[in-house]
Amino acid sequence: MKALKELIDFTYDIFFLGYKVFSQFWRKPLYYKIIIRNMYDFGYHSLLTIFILGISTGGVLALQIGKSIERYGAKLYLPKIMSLAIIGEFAPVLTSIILAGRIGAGITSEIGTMKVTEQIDAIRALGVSHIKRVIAPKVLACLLIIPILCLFMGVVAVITGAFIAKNALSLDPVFFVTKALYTPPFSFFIFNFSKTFFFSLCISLVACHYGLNTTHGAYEVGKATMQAVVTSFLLIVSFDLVLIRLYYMWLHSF
Amino acid sequence: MTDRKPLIEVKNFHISYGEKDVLKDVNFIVREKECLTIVGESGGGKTTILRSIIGLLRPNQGEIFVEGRNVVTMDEKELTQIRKMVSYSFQNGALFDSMTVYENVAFPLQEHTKLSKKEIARKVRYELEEFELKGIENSYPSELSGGMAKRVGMARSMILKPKVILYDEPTVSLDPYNTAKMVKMMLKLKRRGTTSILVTHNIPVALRVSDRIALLLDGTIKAIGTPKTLEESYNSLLKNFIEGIKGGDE
Repeated sequence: MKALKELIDFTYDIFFLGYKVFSQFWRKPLYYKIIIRNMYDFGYHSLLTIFILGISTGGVLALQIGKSIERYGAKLYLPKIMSLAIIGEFAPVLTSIILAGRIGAGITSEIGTMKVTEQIDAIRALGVSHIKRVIAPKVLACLLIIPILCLFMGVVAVITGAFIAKNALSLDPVFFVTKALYTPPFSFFIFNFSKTFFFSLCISLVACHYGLNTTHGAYEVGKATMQAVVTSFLLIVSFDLVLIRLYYMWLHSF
Repeated sequence: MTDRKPLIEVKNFHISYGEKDVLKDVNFIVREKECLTIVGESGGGKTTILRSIIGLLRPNQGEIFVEGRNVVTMDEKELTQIRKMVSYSFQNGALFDSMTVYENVAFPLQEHTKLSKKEIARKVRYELEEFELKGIENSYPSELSGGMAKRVGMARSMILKPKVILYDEPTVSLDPYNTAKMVKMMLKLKRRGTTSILVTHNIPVALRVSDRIALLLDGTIKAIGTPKTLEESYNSLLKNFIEGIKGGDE
């Protein structure tokens, strides 16, 4: 019963925080410089991580699947299988999970530290909305940068897959990339790309929520960060399942 | 003093954390240009009163009027106007650690005024000089001493020239030299005509800067009066507090 109440409270808090962010963001002053700085922090500093993730995912998939299906003479299907796997799951979900750890943890620890050192109270005491000045720019920056990073990961993974397929399976890279691009239907691509906006909201709102609810000292900041990352992971994988189910229900309704 | 207009009125103030009643039926008035000091036990709810005056906390019961407007029923947008008029000096300065001293002090001007960069720089320089902080504009809060951080916090609170300033333990953990400096700052602001509420355990400081002192014990105001009347009074609670029999630890 207590767990259910906590779940309801948590859901309410997240929705209410989201409402406050989007209702206050459009009011002047627009903190566009802070949004750009956050985008730079979240995006530029995550590029190398996502690049390595793309290379390893694309390479591993090409080798594992390619070598397995080669025995059955089906290696020509590798680009199709890989593009469905990368666009459908690896690019949006795996990248979001990594970014929940990279960006979400950073947001929670920053806001949590500001909370315990009374910096959030100081912002409010100076007559400035902490939601608008601190939270909204982070949520907006996540919404703009995480989908781009997911797309970047997908592109790197497909290109790496093509490179590995050429060397290990003697597949023509142009053939690989053409097949990888034209196999998934457009709606599949749009749906999976749209998922990343949803995951961005999960990461940023959950991270901000835990940061704002941090009390006491360094131990609590660490605990809040861990909770934010774990909750984001769980929300991403759970919503992924729900959204995919909804997508196929919508697809089969035609 | 009593002929002056009441600026802050706290009526039937009651707040509890969980099961614990921290403040019960607190009532007091602060008049224009007056300095009221609240002394009392650690954890007795002194900071809670200050935080409630600017709407950082909401009481369970009661009303707080600032210039006749009840802050308890205000939303965040309305509270913004109150917070421009009533500033809060945090116990540890609460400086923004990612900003320099200059950026910290300039923050309220950047947020609430349309002044040019040059004008902001002039005002910040003036305020830093007033608080004897010249030459540390480019330092970060982590590079400052406790006393300096408190004075930077105070300079930031004062830059919009508020009518009221709320001091939360401004001399706690300061050496006698920095305590004297802080007292000098508070007296300077008092001469400027700033109304203030001071929360402290430091009785000599309270006696020096206050027009009236209120003793908060067991969640209520047990005694209130001018330093002279309280010193001369036979109020045993106040005498006990000052002599350290109950509370008085810093």
